[in-house]
Amino acid sequence: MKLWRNIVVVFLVLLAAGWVKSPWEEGKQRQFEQQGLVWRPLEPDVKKKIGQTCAVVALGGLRSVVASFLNLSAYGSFENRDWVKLSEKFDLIVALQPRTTYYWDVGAWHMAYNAAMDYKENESLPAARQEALHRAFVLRGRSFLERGVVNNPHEWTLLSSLGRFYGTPSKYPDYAKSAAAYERAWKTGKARNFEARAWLYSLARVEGKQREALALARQLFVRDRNRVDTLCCLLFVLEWSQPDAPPTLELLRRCFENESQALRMLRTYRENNAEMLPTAGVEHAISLLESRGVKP
Amino acid sequence: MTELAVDIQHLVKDFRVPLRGAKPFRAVNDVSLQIQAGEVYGLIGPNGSGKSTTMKALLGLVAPSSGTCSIFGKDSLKVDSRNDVGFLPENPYFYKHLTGAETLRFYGKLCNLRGKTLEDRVTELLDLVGLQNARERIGLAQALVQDPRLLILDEPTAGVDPIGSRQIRDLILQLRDRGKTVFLCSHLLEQVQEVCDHVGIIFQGKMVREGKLEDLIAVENQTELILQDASAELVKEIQTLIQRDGAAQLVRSGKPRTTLERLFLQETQGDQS
Amino acid sequence: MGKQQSNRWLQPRRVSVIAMNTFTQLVRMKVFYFLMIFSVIAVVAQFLDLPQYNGVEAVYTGELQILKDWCMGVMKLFALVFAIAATALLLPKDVEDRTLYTILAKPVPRLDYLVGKLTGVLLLIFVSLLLMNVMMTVVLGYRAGALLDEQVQMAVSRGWNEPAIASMRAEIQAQGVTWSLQAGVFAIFLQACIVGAVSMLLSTFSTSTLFTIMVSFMTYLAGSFQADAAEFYRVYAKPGNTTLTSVLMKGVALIFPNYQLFNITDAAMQGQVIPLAAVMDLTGLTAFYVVLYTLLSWFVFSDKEF
Repeated sequence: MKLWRNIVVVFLVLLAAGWVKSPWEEGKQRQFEQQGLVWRPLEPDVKKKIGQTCAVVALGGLRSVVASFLNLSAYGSFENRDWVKLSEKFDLIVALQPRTTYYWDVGAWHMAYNAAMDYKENESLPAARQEALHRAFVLRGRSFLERGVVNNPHEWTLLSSLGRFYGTPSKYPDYAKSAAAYERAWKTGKARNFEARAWLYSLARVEGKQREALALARQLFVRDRNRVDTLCCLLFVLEWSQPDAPPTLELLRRCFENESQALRMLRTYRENNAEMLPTAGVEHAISLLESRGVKP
Repeated sequence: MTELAVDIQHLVKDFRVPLRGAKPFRAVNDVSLQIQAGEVYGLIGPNGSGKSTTMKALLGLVAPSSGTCSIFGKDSLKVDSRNDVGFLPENPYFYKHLTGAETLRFYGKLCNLRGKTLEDRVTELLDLVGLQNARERIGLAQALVQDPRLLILDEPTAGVDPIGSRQIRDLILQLRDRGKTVFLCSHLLEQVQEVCDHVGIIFQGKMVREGKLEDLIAVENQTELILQDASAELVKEIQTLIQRDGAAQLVRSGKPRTTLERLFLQETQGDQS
Repeated sequence: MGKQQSNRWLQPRRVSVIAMNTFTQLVRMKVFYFLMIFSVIAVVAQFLDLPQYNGVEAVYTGELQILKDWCMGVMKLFALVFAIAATALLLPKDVEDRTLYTILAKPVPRLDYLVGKLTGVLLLIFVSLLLMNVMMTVVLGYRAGALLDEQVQMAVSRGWNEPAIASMRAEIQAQGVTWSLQAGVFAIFLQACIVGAVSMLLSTFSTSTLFTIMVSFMTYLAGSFQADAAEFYRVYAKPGNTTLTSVLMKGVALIFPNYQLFNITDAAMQGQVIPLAAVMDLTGLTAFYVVLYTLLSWFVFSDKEF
């Protein structure tokens, strides 16, 4: 009797205390979420959300330990080339630790590069299947990284990775999305100058965006440390492509330190253009410089 | 009038029996006893008779269903009443992670002893109980650590070797000589007989006999004459006198003795019949 | 007898005697062996190569995040398990061994006994977390320093200017040893305080250590879910639409503490700055819960019979 009396009293007191503290606690929860101090899962599918939420919150503070172990286990799947299992593990890892950018980066890399290439080169599969699986995993990796960016919208490293994924010619590129990602990365204010240049390189490959690309190239060219070979050559190409472009020689003097450097850089640009950047005017400029007897 | 160390008035304690429909079990049934300061009181009875429950009620470890218990005038349910009490439970067990001295220090600190006073007390007790970390002796020492006016000992010699028992009994007598009050319970009747001034016999929760030890173990309707160096003629003369009386009877001559044990058996078997 | 003391509740000296005894008891239970194992792992992990997928540029601060994930996760696991198990063990052990009789036979109010026991457990958790934190800080500081040197060298070789290098330095340092990371460790301790207090309350009801441990763990899970329950009730429960589920969710939201608030540890691990105000809020909330559960424990324990 006494036991039940005590249980009832304790229960009622907890309820009453709960009534008192609840508004404050809920307010703090919302405040902490806004400040980004605590995390809530963002899965759009409600049923999946509840299932995963329960699992994730149930692990509570053990998430980080479990994620660490899963990461090590995923390395084993990588070595065994068990790509499906590896993908599943990374899905769980990022559900546990969505703010650890490393997991998003590495998971996406595994899917879009390692898994995709492994399937493409797997001679036990018919050619059509090789291609289909290659494509599937490239897209899977990219969408994985997209989720990473949604979870971590201010992380320039993930945005940069996403830009790289969209901008790789052999990976079903979408240069517009690549440019957008690099632009967001650059505008976080924390990225390197490389992201700004990468933004330009992607933008230059988007149909109808040459004017914007040119404006960006000119802006970047102003700073000495942006005057890397690729940028100088691309600036020349973009300038030369304009209908009201000045004579080639004048352009070459604007974009390069001297004709010798121009010849050297343009030749390299022509021969090593795996990125498939625009090359309008390059051949003409090289011929012009060679005819003038310029030595690289 | 001497101060009352322990005053238990009409103590009743019922325990709930965890069986559907079962009535509560009455462990202590209207027990009253008083212990004067400075005396040794023995509460004797078989296992399950209510001795330990009575002691626990006195110590506030269980709450009486009705009745009152007090120690030197303070209600047992109040923490203050335990300032003057040292308790040795049956088969005591102390923290394994502490040595004997550490155990005494721990209990001493709980009683607000500190510094040199505490250290001296620990040393003194270690000598007094002549110990080498034996569990029972530590038990006794911790009961004495704050130099209490009342000692409550539950089966103090149960499971102790004979020499150890003798030492404990001697210690109890020493404490009495120092003015301490001792309340002990035991089922080892011979040992109780050797140390107690007052005795209470508890059986099935009821106090069946109580009083001075000497009075209790006297056989009431018998008179004992203990003669020293009496000649055979003298003894014969006394026997003749008795025969002449008519009412009185000579029961036995020889070396008279009775024991508490016999008295106990008499009382309990008398109740069962 | 020592100085005649008043036996009012919560005498600091008496509470500290019981707390230190509990602390000693737990330490001498060899709990610190766990710490040694952790320390060894933390140190050994420093010299193990993480599975390296890419060059140094790609991994960047990722290795620091992994190290923090691991260390803080272990600390949280230790604190949680210990808070539940040690507290659940102590009361039944004292009752079973009858040491409780000898303690309560002294002028020790039951509240002091409970507070002393809980304090002893929390003190041990605090000291253990402190030691583990020192280990983690040393290892993290070393690795962050090494990474910083590596990255600065690379940046200089590629002709980066000072502002760019300073920005990178700030980014790496934010993932290294920071005050916010210490706030994250403190949040682990605060959560352990509440978990321990809950476990103590449950142990005053139950005589079975195993039962107490299981139910304590279940209340921890419920507390981790509490914020979602509150949100569910807020979103779905409308007048005329009160279902059993929504009532249950409200019950969960009221009764259990919100352990999700203490997951600022995760934000700290990501290198986010934890405002002092947030730490103060959590400290206040912890104090509220610990006092509440301790008083309830006392209510149950005060007329418990032995």
